[in-house]
Amino acid sequence: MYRTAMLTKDLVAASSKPLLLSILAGGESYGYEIIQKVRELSGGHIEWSDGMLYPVLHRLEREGLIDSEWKEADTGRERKYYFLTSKGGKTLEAERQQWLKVHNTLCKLWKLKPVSL
Amino acid sequence: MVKSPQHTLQIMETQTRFALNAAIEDWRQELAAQIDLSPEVRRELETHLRDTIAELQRHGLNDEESFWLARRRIGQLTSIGREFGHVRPNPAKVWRARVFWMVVGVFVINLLRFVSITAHLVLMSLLWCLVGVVIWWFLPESLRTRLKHV
Repeated sequence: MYRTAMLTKDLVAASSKPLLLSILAGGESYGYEIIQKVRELSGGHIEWSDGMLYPVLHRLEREGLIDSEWKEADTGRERKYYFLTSKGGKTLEAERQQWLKVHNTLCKLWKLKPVSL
Repeated sequence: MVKSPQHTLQIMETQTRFALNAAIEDWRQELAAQIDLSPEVRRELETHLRDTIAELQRHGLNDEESFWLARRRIGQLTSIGREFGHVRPNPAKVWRARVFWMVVGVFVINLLRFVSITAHLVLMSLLWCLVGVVIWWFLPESLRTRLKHV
């Protein structure tokens, strides 16, 4: 059955890049924390299978948009922390512009208040 | 032999703890079987599983519930592996790059050969000119005059 509350697979895939870059723009983070944040911010509407986060993170790293480093956390457990690169910052800005354009077009069609770009 | 209720409880607790470790170990075996996952990614996924289990335990779930829910949240390891397979450079691209460098290699070798043959020819002609000049220099005066009139 089609559930309107959840994002479709295509939308989840398309939005993963701006989502991850935006989270990392707020400071370095690791996989588990990122997933928690997405779940919390989306009110549970964006549900990723946790494991699927890693191929995306590694792809962004390969593209040079993010970088990573293994560090020991307070728990003593080593974690791989990801952070935004300057190239990633520029890409995020471009992504932001594009998403807001789509958003504003839909807002006009649905007679909602658009946001300023 | 009669076992005290406390003793039985202890056994049950130990068994539960053991089951969690064994379950994680089984899951790690499954993880190790995914050839598309690098050791680093496997390490990340295992940390993720352990973090999730710890978090769920904090919320009051028991070992077994925490493990199964954490495992479910991570999802199918085969599909993660498949996804990483896509992240890797595709074979067609790799082969295109290989062929490109082979062609470049052959071109460079030929260029070097051409340069060396040309250099060889130029040097040899210069050498023979020199030999001619030297011979001319050492010829007796009478022979030189006669050759000039030829």
